[in-house]
Amino acid sequence: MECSEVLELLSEYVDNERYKNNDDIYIEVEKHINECHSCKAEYELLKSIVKSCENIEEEDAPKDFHDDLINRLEKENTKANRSIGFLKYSKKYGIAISAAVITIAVSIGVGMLGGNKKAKLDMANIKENAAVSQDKKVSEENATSSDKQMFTSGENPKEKGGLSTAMKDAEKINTAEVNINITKSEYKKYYKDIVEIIREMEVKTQAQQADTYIIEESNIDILIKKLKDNFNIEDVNVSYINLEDKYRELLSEREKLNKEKEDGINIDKKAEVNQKSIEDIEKSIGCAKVKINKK
Amino acid sequence: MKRICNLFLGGEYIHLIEYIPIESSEVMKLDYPERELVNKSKNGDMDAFSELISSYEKKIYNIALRMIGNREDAYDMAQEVCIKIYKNINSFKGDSSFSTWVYRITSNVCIDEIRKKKYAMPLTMVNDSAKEFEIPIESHNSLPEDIIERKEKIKDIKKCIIELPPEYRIMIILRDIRGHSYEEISNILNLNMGTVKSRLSRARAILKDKLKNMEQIRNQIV
Repeated sequence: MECSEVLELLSEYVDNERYKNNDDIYIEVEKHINECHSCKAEYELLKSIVKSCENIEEEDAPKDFHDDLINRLEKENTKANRSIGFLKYSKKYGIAISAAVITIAVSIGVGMLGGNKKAKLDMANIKENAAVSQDKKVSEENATSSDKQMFTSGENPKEKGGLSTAMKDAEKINTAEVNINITKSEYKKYYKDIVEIIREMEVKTQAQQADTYIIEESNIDILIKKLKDNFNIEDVNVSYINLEDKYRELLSEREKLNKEKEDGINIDKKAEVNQKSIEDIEKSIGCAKVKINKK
Repeated sequence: MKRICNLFLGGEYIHLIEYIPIESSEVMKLDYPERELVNKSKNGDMDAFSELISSYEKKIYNIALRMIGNREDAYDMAQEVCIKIYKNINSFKGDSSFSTWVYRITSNVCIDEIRKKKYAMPLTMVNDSAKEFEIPIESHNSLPEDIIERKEKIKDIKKCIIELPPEYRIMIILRDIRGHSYEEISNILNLNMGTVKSRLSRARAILKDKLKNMEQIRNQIV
C-alpha cells in the first residue's frame, strides 16, 4: 500500500480502530503504519488531536437558561393567541366555527376579560372608513373592570344579523385612526389634559412617534366620551384602515419565501422585510393611532 | 402556569388558553418516556415540553458554544434552537429519532447563524471556565508541566476549531467532541456516508494544519 493511499484512509482508520474492523483494507493500513515511520507519525498526530478534542469539557448551561426559555415560549403563546388568533381561524373555517370560537371567547370574556372582546366586536360593526360622529347613541352597561364601558351604535346600517354580522366584520383586519380636531384656544386650554387622558390608555409596547399616540381600539369610545364630557370637544374623526388584503398578501409571500428557502435560494433579506411587515400589522390590530390636530 | 389547549376543529388546531395556578417554578418531573413527552408537547402541553427540552439544553448549549466560541452568543443561539424546536414540533414526524431531529435543528441553526453574521474570526475567545484551572485527580502522577501543556493544547484546539468553515466545524464537533457515530452524523446532517467520511477527513486535515501553524508561531516567539 502506498503512503498516499494510507494518508487518505487515516481519518477513517482512527475511528474504526475502536471497532476492531476486520476489513482487509484496514489490516493493510495497519501493516503499513507499523512499517512506515512518516505515516506512523501522521497517525499518532491525528490520534492526539482527536484525543484532545475528546478532552474538551462539557459546560453546564447558565442557570437561567431554562426559565428564560420557558418565559419566552409563554410570551410567544400569548402573542399568537391575541385577536389575530381567532380572526385567522374564523376566516378559514367559516361562520359556524367562528360562532363556536366567539361564543367560547365571549363566555370566557365575561368572566376574565371584561368588556374588551365584546367591545372589539362592536367596533367591527361600524362601517369602514366612515366618520363616526358624536351623535351616535350611547348605552352603558355594567362594567366588570374599573373604567371600561361598552357602547353600541344603534344607528349602524350594517347591524342586521347581530352576531353573524359581527363575525363577518370580525374577519376584517383593521387598524383605526383617531383625529381630534380642536381650535387654537381649545388647544391652549386643554392640550395638557387631553394628553394626560390619552396617556392613561396608551399601549406602551408600541414605538412612538411625535404627537401620535397608540391606544387600544376598545378605548376609542371612552376617549370620545371624555373629550365631550370634560372639554366639550366633539370634532373627532375615527376612520378604519383595512389591512386584510395587505396581510393576506404578506402571508402568501411568506409561504412563497419558505418554499424558495427549501429549494436553496437565499431569501434572508426578503424574509426579514416580510416578517417585519407582518409583525407591524399584527401589532397594530386592536390598536388605534390618535392625533391631535389644530384647526 | 398556562396550558394551551388545542381544539381540533375542521382539520386544524384552534388555541384556547387555560390558566392553572402554579405552586413552584421548578421543572416538574413527569416521568413519562420521551415519546409521550413529544406527543404531549405536540398537543400544547407546556410542562411536557419543559421536561422534554430540559434534557437537551446542555447538549444544545455545548454544541453552540463550540461552534461560536463565546458564551453570550452561544446562549442566544441555543435559545433560538429551543424556540425553533418548540415552534416546529408538530412537523416532527418520527421518521428519525427525536434526538437526531434535535441535533439536526441545532446544527442547521448554528451553521446558518454563523454564515449570516460571518463569525469566522471572533475577537474574543471563550474565557476558560474555572474547571480548566483545576488539576484532575487522575493526573496527579503527571508533572505539572505536562498538565499545563495539555491545557494549552486544548485551548489551541478550541481556537482552531472556531477558525474552520462552519460545515467542517460541525463535523469535528459532532464526531470528536460529542462522539456521534458516522451513521448518526449522516442522519443528523442528512449527508451520505461517503460525504461524512470525506468531510470529516478534510476537517481534521485543516485542523491539523492550523495547529501546526499555531505551534510554529508560538515557537518563533520563544
